[in-house]
Amino acid sequence: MSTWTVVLLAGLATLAIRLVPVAVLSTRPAPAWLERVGPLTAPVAFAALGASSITGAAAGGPAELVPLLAAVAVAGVVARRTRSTSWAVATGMVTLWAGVALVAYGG
Amino acid sequence: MTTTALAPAAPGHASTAPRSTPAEGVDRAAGRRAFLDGVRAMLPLLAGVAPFGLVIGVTVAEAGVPHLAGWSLSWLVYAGSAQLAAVGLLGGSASAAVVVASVAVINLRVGLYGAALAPHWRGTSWWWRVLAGYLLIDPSFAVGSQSYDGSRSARLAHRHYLGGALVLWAGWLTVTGLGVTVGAVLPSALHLESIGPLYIVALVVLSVRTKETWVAVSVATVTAVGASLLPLHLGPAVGMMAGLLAGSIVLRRTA
Repeated sequence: MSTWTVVLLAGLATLAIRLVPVAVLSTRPAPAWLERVGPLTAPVAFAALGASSITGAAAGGPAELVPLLAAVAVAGVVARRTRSTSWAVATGMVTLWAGVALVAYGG
Repeated sequence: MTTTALAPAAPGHASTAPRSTPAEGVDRAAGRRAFLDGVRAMLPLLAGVAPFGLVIGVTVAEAGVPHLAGWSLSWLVYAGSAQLAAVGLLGGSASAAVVVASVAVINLRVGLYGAALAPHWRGTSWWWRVLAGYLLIDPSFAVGSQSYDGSRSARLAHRHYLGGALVLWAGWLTVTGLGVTVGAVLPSALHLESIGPLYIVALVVLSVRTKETWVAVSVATVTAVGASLLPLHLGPAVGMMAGLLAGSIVLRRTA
């Protein structure tokens, strides 16, 4: 299946998710289970996707994985302390570049 | 005034109306003000999501996904986290089913937003509900919550929502396009593909505020890592399902 087909299907799925509740639930309340689980979907999705991306980097060996893990740890701590995604990404990237340079120098 | 003011004028209506009355002029001015108020309410939120849009654009450029198709997610899916996931999965050659299922799971919350605003759109034309629903995402829901707080008439509330939602939509397409353009000319030695995962880690950290979220996120993380050996790049989807199941079990026990 081509990339364009997948992109279109993803767009259609999202449009359905947006419009079906507007069409169906405009006259009745949302089911209890949906309201309960709703707030969890975004964090859970982010966690699974982040873990999967980092695991994927393990295929590149320790030279790629170790700097990335260090960057992730720094980004996590900075996000918690500053409540800022921008600072988290900035410090994480600096850590990553330092880690890659150290590994290259050490290797 | 009712929401029918937003419906297209009947054929010939504009040409047969000789001149707008003073009352209509005031009405139009109030509508314009409400629209601009919505735009102003959205600007800080747009500034907040703009870096994320740039990240997504850069990720498209780095992921090996055709640039136009990757950027088109901005108007077809129009949901940053789902776009980021889709680009990552497409770049990793995941199957179509996994990409679409992941996007759908991530966007389930948008369905909840729609359910929350749907009562305010009752009685409006079908095209208004399609447009308003299509434009629905976290920042537009935030502005929409202000629009429909009861401080303005239904018509002005719709204008307010539309002003915020449209400026967000235009801004989002612009910043993601900028990210694709900039990302394509930057050297790979910068490892910009790591911006996405780092941003996601920060989002996870910021979102963990309750016990059930902590449990759900932990289970999703561990399961996604464990499931990374599964074929078709099923790891993220399996992790999400496990996390949601764990979180809902905790919620049920604490309820």
